[in-house]
Amino acid sequence: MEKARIGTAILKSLDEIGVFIDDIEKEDDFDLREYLLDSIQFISFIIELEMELDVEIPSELLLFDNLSSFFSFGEMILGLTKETEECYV
Amino acid sequence: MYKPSKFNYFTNDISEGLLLYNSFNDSYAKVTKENKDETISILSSKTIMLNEGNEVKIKALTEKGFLIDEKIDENQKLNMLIAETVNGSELSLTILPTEQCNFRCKYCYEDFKRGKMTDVVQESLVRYVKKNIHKYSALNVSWFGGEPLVAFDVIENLSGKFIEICKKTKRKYSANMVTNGYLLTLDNFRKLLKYKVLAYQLTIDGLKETQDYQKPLVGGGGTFDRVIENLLAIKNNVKTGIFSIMIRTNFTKEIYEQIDEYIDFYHEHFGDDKRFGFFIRPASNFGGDRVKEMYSSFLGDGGILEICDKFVKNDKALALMNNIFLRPGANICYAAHPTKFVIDSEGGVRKCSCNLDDDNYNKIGHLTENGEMGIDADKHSKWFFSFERDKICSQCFLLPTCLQNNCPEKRIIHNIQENICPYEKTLVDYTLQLYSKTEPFDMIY
Repeated sequence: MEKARIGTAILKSLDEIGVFIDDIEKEDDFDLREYLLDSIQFISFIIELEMELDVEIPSELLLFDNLSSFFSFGEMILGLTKETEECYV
Repeated sequence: MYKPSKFNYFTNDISEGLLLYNSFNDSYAKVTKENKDETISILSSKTIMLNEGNEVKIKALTEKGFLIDEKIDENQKLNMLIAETVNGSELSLTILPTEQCNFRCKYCYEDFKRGKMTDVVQESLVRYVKKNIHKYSALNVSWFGGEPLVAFDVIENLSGKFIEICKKTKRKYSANMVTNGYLLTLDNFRKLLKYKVLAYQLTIDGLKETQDYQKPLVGGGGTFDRVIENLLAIKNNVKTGIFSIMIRTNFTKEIYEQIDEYIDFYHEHFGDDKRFGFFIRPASNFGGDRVKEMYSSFLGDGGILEICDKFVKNDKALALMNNIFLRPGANICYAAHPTKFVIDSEGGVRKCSCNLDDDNYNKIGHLTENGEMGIDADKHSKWFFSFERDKICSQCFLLPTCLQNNCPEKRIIHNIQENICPYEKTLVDYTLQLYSKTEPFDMIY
């Protein structure tokens, strides 16, 4: 459930910056780097995602290569949202 | 057959190896002390043939673009770079939300005659962006002043509207800010991040004593403690890595006298955080009258080189960002681009953010209420790129960074006809040494 929420947030953030992912692509894992062509697009995507999930992604995770897999990137963000939740407990 | 790229530069490393740089490819490398002489010999040859003895070196140098196929015409490649740069698809606006400032820096050239941007001018600007954004792939805004944060409401209003327009039209939006940092509180910073202001340039002139003297509040009073307090609050409370803050210091003799304390202080407070970088320049005459009080504090010839030397030799590394000016196109003044404009607080459309009072050359149009810039094409064209290649410039290793358009203002307003070299050229050895100290270059052999 939580994974699905993160996945939807990633896709919504991409959509907000004008990157449309075809439904066929979404069925499998895919490389997000193919859709984010420059640093402005990358940062715009991260801003949208941070706002969507209300998390802050630290510098050490903001590596372009961390986008090589949609699933792994989702897992990484999931880890961050859990950390944030734990802070409030 | 291979030949060395004409855009190569090499210099000694502090560890006695050799640092290599190519300004066209923005590539960097390091070779060991043992291989230094042979590398210099290869890179100084007219042509090089691959053989069993040099294969490893030739391949490594070719991969990084220091050696190229003998048949490649680098002038033609340069023409392509010019074409790409000139045909910029982004609209860039340097906006002065107010021309008032809460500081009175000793060397500031602004005269603070104009005030805050009115609602009418703001609406005209929004209308201009709405009507024209379809021509561009992105909107980039630089918040400048005066002190932009004095007119925070203008930034909020315009940012909100620009972001909405870009969202609807699926255009990229990015923003940066030049601020003195006094009003960059944690609360304001968080709001600015939401408005996508992600890159900041702040000038802090040394430590408390020098900053408080060189950059006092308008009514008098120190500024150092508050600016540092703001930066530390941001550093310690904001986790996201999406922003960068460049701390610029305009060095004077007085700051130089405290150079070791300067490095210690900034290393201790910001050295562990890659979001903070540093940029150094000598304080100099940027124009205006106030600066006359400071002449005796200016560094003499070579003063800035001595400062760089101190940075190189100090064990504590500060992430100096002077290397950003070694990238292709980085030294081209924004005024030389046809899609970059300065919008003053009264709606004047200008090319250069210096000489803000010059209406003869610098002011090329004025925003109208229906969102037109009313640009005088003849005036605008004077700022445009020069394609004629100067004999001296065409031999310069740094040409891809400036493309002979480092400062059109000097040519147009001050009638200086010879080409102006980027300031970074004087510091290039130190810039490479310092860059390699914080971001080690690939050791290619």
